Amino acid sequence: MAEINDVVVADRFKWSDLYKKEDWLSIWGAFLIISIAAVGVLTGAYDFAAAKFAKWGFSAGEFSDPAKFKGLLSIFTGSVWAKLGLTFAALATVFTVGNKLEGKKAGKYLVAFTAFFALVCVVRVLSAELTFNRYLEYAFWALLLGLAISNTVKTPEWLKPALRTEFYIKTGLVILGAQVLFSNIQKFGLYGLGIAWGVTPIVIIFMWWLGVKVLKIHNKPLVITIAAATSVCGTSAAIAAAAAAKAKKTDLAFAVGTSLIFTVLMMVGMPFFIKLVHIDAMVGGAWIGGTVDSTGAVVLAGQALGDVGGQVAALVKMIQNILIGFVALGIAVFFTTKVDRSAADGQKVGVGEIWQRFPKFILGFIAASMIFSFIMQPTFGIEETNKVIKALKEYQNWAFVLAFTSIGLETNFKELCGQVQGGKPFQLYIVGQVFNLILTFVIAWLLLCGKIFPVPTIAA
Amino acid sequence: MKLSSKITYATLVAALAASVYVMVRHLGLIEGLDFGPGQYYYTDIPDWPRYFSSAGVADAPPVWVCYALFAAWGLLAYWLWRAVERRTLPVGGDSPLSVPPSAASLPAPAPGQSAAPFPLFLAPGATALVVGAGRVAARKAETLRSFGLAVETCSPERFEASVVGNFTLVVAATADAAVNRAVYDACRAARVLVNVVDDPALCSFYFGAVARKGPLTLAVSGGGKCPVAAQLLRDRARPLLTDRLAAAAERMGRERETWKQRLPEPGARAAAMRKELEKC
Repeated sequence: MAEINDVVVADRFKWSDLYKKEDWLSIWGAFLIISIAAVGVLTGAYDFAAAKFAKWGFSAGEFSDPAKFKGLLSIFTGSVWAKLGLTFAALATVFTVGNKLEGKKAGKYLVAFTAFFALVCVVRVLSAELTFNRYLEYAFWALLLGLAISNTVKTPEWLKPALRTEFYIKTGLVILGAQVLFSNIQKFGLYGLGIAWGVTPIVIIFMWWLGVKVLKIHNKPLVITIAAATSVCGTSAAIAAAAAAKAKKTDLAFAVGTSLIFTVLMMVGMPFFIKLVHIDAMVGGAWIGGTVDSTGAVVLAGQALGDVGGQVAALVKMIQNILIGFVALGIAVFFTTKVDRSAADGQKVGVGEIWQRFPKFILGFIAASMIFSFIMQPTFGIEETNKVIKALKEYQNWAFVLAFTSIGLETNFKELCGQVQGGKPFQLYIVGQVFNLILTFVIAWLLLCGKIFPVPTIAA
Repeated sequence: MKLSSKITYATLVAALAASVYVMVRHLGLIEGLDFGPGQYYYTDIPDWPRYFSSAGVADAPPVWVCYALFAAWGLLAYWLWRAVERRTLPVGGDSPLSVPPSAASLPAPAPGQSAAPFPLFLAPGATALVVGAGRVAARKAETLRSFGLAVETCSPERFEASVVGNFTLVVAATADAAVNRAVYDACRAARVLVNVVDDPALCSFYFGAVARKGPLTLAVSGGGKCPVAAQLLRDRARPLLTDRLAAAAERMGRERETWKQRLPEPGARAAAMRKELEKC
């Protein structure tokens, strides 16, 4: 997704950028969806939520209960078709108008998008399968299906106008911004702040140093994408960091893939280890919350320690979920002022050019978060705000599925294997995660063991 | 293969196998809880307000204290990161322009001969090899492609001296001084134009500060000495490169034959065309 071009054609801000450039268009598109969804929920006039397939299973029976088994065909109900129509109409409108304003051919885009949307529906149906849904969800299937097509029958030319990875990611991230409620930062008091926010930047800086200086990985956006996935919260943070650092598509695929494998293992391994060596449930929960990448895995692993462990794990993870936007902002500022600046043949660039390079969609992300945290929530209350978020949520998922599928469709295996560089990025992830595990445990133990600070009481 | 790579791959294969085992056996899931690692963000979890909106610590400090601590630690960490980056620059692939010790050994220009580089505009269709796997290499490749060159890229590990003869020019953008040197030597031997990024002593051509609009390209060179001056000049001149001028140039290119027929004498034709363009 790199916008690499040091031949600057126009670097001064023009008002027309606001309706011609992808970053701004993604902000407006996302805000449009957010507004329509919010008005629908707050007035109760209509339901704008996007489609979501019900779960189905081809392994007969969910765990041990065959009564819960649902066949594939059973998920295609009338309401799902109606919702799919709505989702398609909303996304096709936002993205086609965006393409048109950018000066691309709207007709060609719409044709390509229609077919692409059908393919993405296949991805979503596959990832709604019970086991796949729980362990892997959309990122895995989107990449896999995309890669399978592009490396066998080849992605057809006419489909390519629809492969706008960055546009989808940026739009999805601005919608994600609305789900970041800043007041949650206080929920676990200084304990949560210390464990989630105290450790995260240190892990990022450590991994940066490890990747750039020790392992000498030249692809700095890859380093920061892996670091964000490890220290903040897996896939969502990787997406935000990759977009902020303008990483290549393969960098994101790589970071997400690695994180998926190890999350599954940590979710099972950590509660087992904690119980084995009799670590206190609260310390253990905080440790899990601060280290396991995916939020779903955190809650499950925490619950495996009991209610207290589950609550503490969720509280710590919640704070890391809030961090995404601010970490992405830091990365964007750092890359536009430090890394890109020195990469351009050592030429220092002016403020105008820094602004030109700055990924503006992050401003949309932060703005959405601020509006929901400081206007929406105080005005309408947490319940209504949560309802709006629920109505929005699936649009963000659709945008990310579109993005990951188009990454798959644009990547060849050779390119992906070229990323491996003798296993260095894996080493970065593994060593970084071990560092994260040790540091988070130390901080969690210091804060929650009860010997230094009072043990907090969790109120439901 | 290095031992560290072998260990890494073995770990990875083991992790992959273990995670497949976990998934097949449904390990780690909890009966009645309908989610797992596939739910990446908190709102992916069904009924998420139950887990994230209710519970909290009983005696939390005022929210502004949290915000202040959050901001303070964030800024401090950012400052720390910058400090680490400054220290890592000399070994990073993207190090800024440095004057290499070998620069002094460049042959001095003969008396009366200018030391300025000769400007040259390559016609589209030239071929280029970019050696390097990092961001700078990608940037150079993209730049060259944007001017219609057929660009091949290769990682530093895969570089072979024998291939440089197949290209019009070669760019080396790696952090490995030995690879850069090997690229330079191979190109000099094969008489192929070469540019080692950030090392003017190892360049037979330089990149310039460029602005482009339609068929018009404005390129300024600092002669490998002062790219910032070249950039400044480019930025000052850029406002002259208007859409109208570019469109007119494009149009005149198309109408070339018509102009030739109307004004066969080259001097008069040039004067008339210039007069037309000056309206832009």
